[in-house]
Amino acid sequence: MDQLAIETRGLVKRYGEALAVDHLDLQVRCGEVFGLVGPNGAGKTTTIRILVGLSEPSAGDVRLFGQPLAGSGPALRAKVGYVGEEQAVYPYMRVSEAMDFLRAFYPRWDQDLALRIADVFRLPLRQRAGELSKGMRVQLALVLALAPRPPLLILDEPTAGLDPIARRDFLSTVLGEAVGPDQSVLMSSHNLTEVERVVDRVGIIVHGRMAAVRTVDEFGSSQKRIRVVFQADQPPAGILDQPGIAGVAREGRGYLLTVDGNVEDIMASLARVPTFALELLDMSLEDSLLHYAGGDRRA
Amino acid sequence: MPSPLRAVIRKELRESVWKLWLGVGLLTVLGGMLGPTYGLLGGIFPQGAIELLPAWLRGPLSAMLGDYRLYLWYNWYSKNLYQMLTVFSIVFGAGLVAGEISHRTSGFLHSKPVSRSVVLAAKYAVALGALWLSALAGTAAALIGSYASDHPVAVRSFLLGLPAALSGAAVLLSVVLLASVSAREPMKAAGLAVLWLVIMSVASVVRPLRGFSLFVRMSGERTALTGQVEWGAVLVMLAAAALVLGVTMRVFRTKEL
Repeated sequence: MDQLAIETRGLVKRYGEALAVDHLDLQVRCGEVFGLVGPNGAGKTTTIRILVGLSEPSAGDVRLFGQPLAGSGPALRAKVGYVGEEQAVYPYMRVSEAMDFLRAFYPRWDQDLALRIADVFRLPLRQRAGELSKGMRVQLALVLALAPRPPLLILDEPTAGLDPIARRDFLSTVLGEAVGPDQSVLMSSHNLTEVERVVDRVGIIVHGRMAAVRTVDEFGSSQKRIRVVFQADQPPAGILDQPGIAGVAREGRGYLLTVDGNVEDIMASLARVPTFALELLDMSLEDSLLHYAGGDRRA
Repeated sequence: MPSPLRAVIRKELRESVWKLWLGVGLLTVLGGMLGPTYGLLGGIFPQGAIELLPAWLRGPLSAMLGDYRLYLWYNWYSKNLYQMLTVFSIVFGAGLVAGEISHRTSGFLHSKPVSRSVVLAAKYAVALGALWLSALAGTAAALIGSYASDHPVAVRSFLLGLPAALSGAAVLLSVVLLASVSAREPMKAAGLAVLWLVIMSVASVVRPLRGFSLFVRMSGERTALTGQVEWGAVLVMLAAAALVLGVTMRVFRTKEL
């Protein structure tokens, strides 16, 4: 079994009556880039805040590199680099001062790497963090997260609010320049195109629970959509209740089926009844997310 | 000293420079003015005029006009110093944690490999250092001002009031820090601290409880009368500060940041 960089079992986070994370099981393997996607309020940021020590779980087990996070000391936290939209570098610190400040926390701090990435982003070392643009502040946070060469990098909506060029530069730097083959990345994002492009596996989180975990290719191969227009006014009895049909939506005179597995059998059975149209469509990650989040419903 | 602690202390020192200047500056001015204004007090109340005042005011004023040592002690330890230390503990301490949360820098700092206890200890130590330095500067200014205005005082006897004032400041700051950890915005933390300190001050005005009042102990009333430091009270105050700080650390360890 692969060693796990992150493992949560039955992770629960409550805020009063509200359940933000509901028995979440998450496994991120060492060396993989894992994308965490889900609608707003699904529990992505809460999960990440627990993983980086900003929030305490209400219940459940959290392990990083096999060690329990609860009661762990700074040594385990030194293995995690974090870039989150909810954090700000001290605005009065110059870029170089922020680097000097954090050097004291990490025995493995790589100043050459910090300066190299800062140079790639053209970050002015003498400029104060509070004077940087939003994009540059995110870039600075990335520099500071990568310089200790953490075995695990956690990115929470790192490119939110960045323009497309800055987004591309950010991700190419993360995955091309800085993250080595032994490093794991957990990345949450609303930008599914971006996620599809860079991750090895994707977890879809809905209502605080992990709805599905697959590789991007698996999402494409096992999940399909079928558009069918029956010649009869009503579909034959039971034909839309076959195993594998996960969602049925009315679309004009026809039906749009969301299929999760058993695609061939379903297509064959539909082909046996008279139809005006029958076509098999690929599903994008966005379609999958919408499906799990309840964006397509049974008719 | 471990590197992360040193780094956090350096950061806190940098953020606290204005507090130090404010505290040292104001208390130096207040302390330094006491000697020169003693003569003015006599001028305001010429011979005979003091008899026209109500009895509750006449007694202390007559005593102070007749004894500079009493005047200095009353105006410094029993008035200016503990009142200003109370105000400064709120100004210095309310934003220590709540300010970081509201400015979103707490997420940056506490996602790094440093324990929350270390961060809190560094914040407390630096703020307390600023409070104590302010108190020491003001006390020195009070002595210098006395000599400069030809009112020499026994330095050693006057300094006997400091242990109670400084240990009381440690309690005040720990209470304000608990408020800062309990709130998410500096203004709310300050409001909470003011509320708690007002509740604590009730003991000062209830005669049977005066002995238990932090503010009464800080003013060093007994020390002024006996010429002896109340080491028992000082130790109790330091223990209370440590206890409240311990509770604060416990609350902070599980705080959502």
